Order: sequence, then C-alpha cells, then structure tokens
Amino acid sequence: MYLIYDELTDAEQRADEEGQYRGYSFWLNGVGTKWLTSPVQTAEGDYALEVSGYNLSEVEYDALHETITLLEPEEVDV
Amino acid sequence: MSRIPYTNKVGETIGSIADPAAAYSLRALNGGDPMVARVRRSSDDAEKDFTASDMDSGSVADWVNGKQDTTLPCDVASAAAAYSLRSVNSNYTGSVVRVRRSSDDAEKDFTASDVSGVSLVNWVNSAVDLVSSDLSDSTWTETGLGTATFSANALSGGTGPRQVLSNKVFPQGTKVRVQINLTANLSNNTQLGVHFYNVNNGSLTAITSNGAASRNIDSEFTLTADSKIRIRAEGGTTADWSFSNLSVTSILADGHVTTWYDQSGNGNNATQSTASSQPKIVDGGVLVSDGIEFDGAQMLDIPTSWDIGSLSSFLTAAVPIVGGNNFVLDLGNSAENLRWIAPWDNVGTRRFGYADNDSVIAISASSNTTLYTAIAGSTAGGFNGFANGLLQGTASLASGTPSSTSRIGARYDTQNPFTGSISEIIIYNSDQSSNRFKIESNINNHYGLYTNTNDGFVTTWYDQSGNDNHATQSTAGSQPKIVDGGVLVSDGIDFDGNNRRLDMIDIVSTIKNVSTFLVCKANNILQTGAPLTLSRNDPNLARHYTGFITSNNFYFGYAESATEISLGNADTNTHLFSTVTGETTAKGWLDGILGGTTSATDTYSALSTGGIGSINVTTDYNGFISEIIIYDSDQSANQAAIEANINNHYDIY
Repeated sequence: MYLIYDELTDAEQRADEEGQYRGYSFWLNGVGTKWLTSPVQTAEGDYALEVSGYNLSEVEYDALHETITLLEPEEVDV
Repeated sequence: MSRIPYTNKVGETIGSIADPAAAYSLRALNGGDPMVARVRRSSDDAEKDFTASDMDSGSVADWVNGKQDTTLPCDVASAAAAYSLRSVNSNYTGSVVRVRRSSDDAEKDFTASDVSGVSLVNWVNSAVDLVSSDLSDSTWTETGLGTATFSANALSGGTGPRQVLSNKVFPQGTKVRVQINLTANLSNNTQLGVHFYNVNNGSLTAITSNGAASRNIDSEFTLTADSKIRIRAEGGTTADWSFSNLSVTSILADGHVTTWYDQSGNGNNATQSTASSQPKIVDGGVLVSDGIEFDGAQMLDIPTSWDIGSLSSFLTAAVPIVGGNNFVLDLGNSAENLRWIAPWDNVGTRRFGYADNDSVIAISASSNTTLYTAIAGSTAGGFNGFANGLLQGTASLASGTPSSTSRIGARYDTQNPFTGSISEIIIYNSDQSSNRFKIESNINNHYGLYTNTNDGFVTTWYDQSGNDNHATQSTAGSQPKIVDGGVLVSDGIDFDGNNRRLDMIDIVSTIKNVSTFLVCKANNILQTGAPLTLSRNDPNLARHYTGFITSNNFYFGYAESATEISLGNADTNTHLFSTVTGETTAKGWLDGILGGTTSATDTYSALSTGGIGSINVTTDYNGFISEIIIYDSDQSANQAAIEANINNHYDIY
C-alpha cells in the first residue's frame, strides 16, 4: 500500500514522522535507522511511499493506493 | 561454512600487507577488537554496536534475543504495582511477602533473599510447641462416656470411659512430633489409646495402639486433616491412667501469604486477611516451586484499579488445564463493561477479557509457566494480548476506570478462583508497547520461559581501514540481515535479493588502479545480482562489478560490459573474488584462478545508493557477503599475500 506525494520532500517528511513515531535510533541517538521505508519515484513523476505497517491517520487510509508504476531505472546496468 | 574465530590465523593483519581504502568484515582485519557492525533488532528497533569478538561470542544473537536485557521491570519504566518473590525494582529494599505459618498462625515479613534462601522455609518449619503437657491446662476437655458396667479413675475420678480431648486443633498438613509418657493401671480388657481425632468426621489416627501397659511414646506424623489429640480408656471395668511430658512440636508446616508487597513503591499491597483464602508459599515444609500457589479457593486483593485505556500487565503464571472458569488476574469490572482479564481459563481455552467482551482473544491453553502480557493504549493502537512475547490478538481501545478493586487469583467479585501458581505480576498504568520487549526479556531471562526467535539487521558495516568509509543503510526495510530467527547468520551478512543494500559511495574516483577482494556466497544463482559495485555504467561506461552474477555465471563486470571477464559457472559455494586493475590491464580471479584480462580504463560513474548488494536501486544481490577489501591502487605485488590472509581465515579453496 502506498501514499503518493507530488514532492520528494513531502514523502521524506512522512517517512521522518514514522521513523520518529517508531523511535528509530537516528531520532534518539543521531545515528542509525531513520526510516521504515524510503520514497520511490513513480512513472508519473511523483513519489510513492510504501506504508504497510505505518501508523496511518484516517485521511491517509482514504488516500492509499494499492499499486503504483515505478519509474524505470535509468538502465538495468547489465 | 562454519564461522571461524576472529583471530587471524596467519598472524598478520591486512593493514600490514597494504592499507586499504575501505575494508568491511565481521572479523578483525587489523588486529585488536574493532567495531565491525551496528545492528538493529526487530523486536523493539533498538540498536547496538558490536565488535569482532562479539561476532564469535554469541553476543549479537543474545542481544537480539533479549538475553542481555538485565534491567529490572520497574527500572525500565515506573510501575503502578509490582508483585514478585524476586527483586523487580532496584530502588525497593523492603519485604516482598508476609507469611502466616500453619503451625501456630504466627506471621512474619520476608525479603526476596529470605525467600530464595532458607530463612522463609526455616521459619515456617520452626519447631513450635503446640500444647502443654498436663491436664490441668485449659487446653484439654475431659468428657465421660460412661457405661453402667465400667468404672474408671482418671484424674478427676468418676466412672465410665474417660476421655480427654485437646481444645487445640492441629492443622492439616503440619508434620508434628508427639511425645507423651503414659502411666496406666487397667483392669482386664480395658484399653488406653492415644489418637489424632479428625475434627471433621471423627475418624482416628492412632498415635499409639490401645494397650494396657504404661509406656512412653515418641512419634512423628503428618496430619491429613485438622485434628485434636484424644486420650481415652475404654472396655473392661477400671482404668487408672495419667500422662505426663506431653509435647507436640511442629516439624514441617505450611506457609500462607497474607500480604504480597507492592515493590513499585506505590503501596498497592495485595492482601488476604481470611486464613482459608490465603494462597500458599510453603507446602508441607517445602517452598512452592512456581511462586505462590492458589488452590481454587484462594485470592489476593489489590486495593485499587486503573484506566483500561492506558494500562499494561505482565503476568507470569502456571495455569493447569482444569474444568470450569478460572480467573488468574482481573483488574477490571465486567458489570461496568470495563474488563481487564489477563487471562482467565475456560475449560482448556485461555482468554483475555477486555472492556465489554469476556473473550476478545482466545488461545490454546498450556499448563506450562507462561508470560501473559496485555497492553492497551494509543501506542498499541488498541488492546493487544501476548503469550510468551508473541501477539495473540487485538481489540479496539476502550477507556474507563472500574469502580471496584482488583483481584489476583479470582474474578473481581471473588467468583471463579483459579488453581495454579503465580510467580510475578507487573502492572503499569500506561501503554508500555515501546518497552514491552525489554520488560518481557528481563522476565524471561529470569524464569526461562521461552526461546526468542528475533531478527537483527545491519544498519552500519564499519570500515576497518581507518578512513571512515562506513557502509550504511538508514531505511529499515532495506537493511540486510545478520540474525535470522534468533540465530546468527552463518555465512556473513544476508542480502535476500529484495531491496537490501548498504550505501558505500565514492570509495574510489576511477576504475583504473583499483583492487578489490570480495568473499561472498550466492543464495540464488538464477537472480542477477551485484554484491560489490564501485562504479556504474551510466554515464561513462565505467562499470566495476566484483562477483557479478547473471545467466548462471560469475563475472567481473568492467567498463563497457557487465560480463567483461567470465569467472566460470555460478554456484552457491563461498568464493573469493579478486580484481586488480593497473595502468593498462584489468584482471579478475575466482578463488585465485585468473578468469581473464582486459584493458584498464580511467573513468568513473558514481553511484547514488547501494554499492554493497546492489547497483543503485537495482540488481539486488541474493546471497551472503562476509568480507570486502578495497584498494584505490594496483595491488598486484600484494595480491597473493592478501588472498592468502583471506583464504587462511575462511578456508575457501
């Protein structure tokens, strides 16, 4: 399940909030784990955050997307 | 491949051969005991740094599984009430229990060390003189049961069978020593007997068989019922008898809990003022093995209750599977729909009751000692019930403080008392979800209830070169694994081929004059993967892929081709991949065997993420990585020594 953001910074901020809620080491000690999941860019040019396991608000539950189309990596690199 | 102790077998360090630009391993590459990895444990997301010696001592798995959590429950967080026979609060030095002994109803307080040592048991079993030695004492009642044909002269004269019966009742379960001197002058067929007389049904247990002669008695008995002593002459025609030096001394007794002291410091002592309702801590002279024993008619009262919307309880108990309903801990009130039953047993099904529902969670019953945890609050997101650390179910959050007090060993209204034993109860009037693992680990470490099977993930693989090129992963979902199901991963760090990587960026600035040494083991040879990438294809055709696996083959990917140098068929064995690029040539080896040579190129394309386990966010490696050593120089002259050092440790080929 995903939340979609127009801006990367907004997606990162939501990841920050979840990391703080979970009490990850980065937010307690300044080092270590910061996020549960990282934002990824979609084929539509916005940013998706995989939020399974997140502590979501009711508004966020209503805004969930089941699937997304990821932006193709620049190349497979092989 | 079994883990080999970290001490370098060759006796030399990697650094003494040549100083790397970056070096990652779970062994000490340069001697000493350096920090090698930072690990996050899945249970509570706590993190800790570990050294090379930790990797071989079992310390990593122990920490991940909570075995190093020594902080007492009341030191982890402030408890509302805490009952145990061990110390659960380093700031509490008072007694843990008050005990009444069955022999003479004396009571005494005991500390945790008294309970675990011999003081409690010795006091309960103290020899106590239970009765005085002659009939002039008011402890005796003389009765005459006369018949017309019998005459007897006991102390007070008269006719008929003479009987004296102690007023003192000696309690069931007490082991006593009875000493008495009998003097008898009996007519033919007259008999004098001394018995324990069962006050419930009048049956007799002979202390001495009926007989005619004077005699001395010294015997031990364990009383199977509440009993008085009876001395009686009957039959025949006359009996002159008396006794002296009667002594009844308790040898072994029971100890009953009148108060289970609250170690939280809040004074919420659990009490029971009715003797028959007091649970047992010493049974027949022996300390109860699983804490405090409840026999189905016993309970303790807690003088308060708490809001069920922000509450946590940790109960360690052994609950046999018996018939009927058995309530072990009730902090709520069902009449007010403010239940907190954690748990109760209903004919072999263990249940948690919460709010308006007696059975929000139902689990299979076990008669083994189990840790039952219940937590409600905003962090929990509702009501969660656990058994031995594993979530058993959830329910929606409710709130409210019951008007009744709480109960240990029965329902809040004293109904449905339970049979079993309780070792410990810790109650917090707050949501302890974030501390649950620490609290449960401390309890489990003390009582040895269950084996944890948690995971540990690498957040940092420390660079041992001294250049601080630490490989990191700050996103939990992308961290590779080092402890799997409670067990240290045996072949290094586990990259599962699904979005697991460590960021190692810009270790080199060109793919010319670079040397790499990689120890890894593929887990899935059908999945294309890049265990070590120093430079990528785009935009400068500057690949540097060590140990690259695709199309069932190993490669050294270099410059314009990911499959520039073939290293042979892929397999799932541990291998040492070596690459050395100089001024003009680039070469790749597998286990010391040259795979091929190509032209070196002075170019570079930086990664934005990954490097260990991926190329950026693609080409995820599915396998185990033990060691990576990177030189920003041509190490042809030292290659053999470096490979020998590595192979001597891992015994690869």
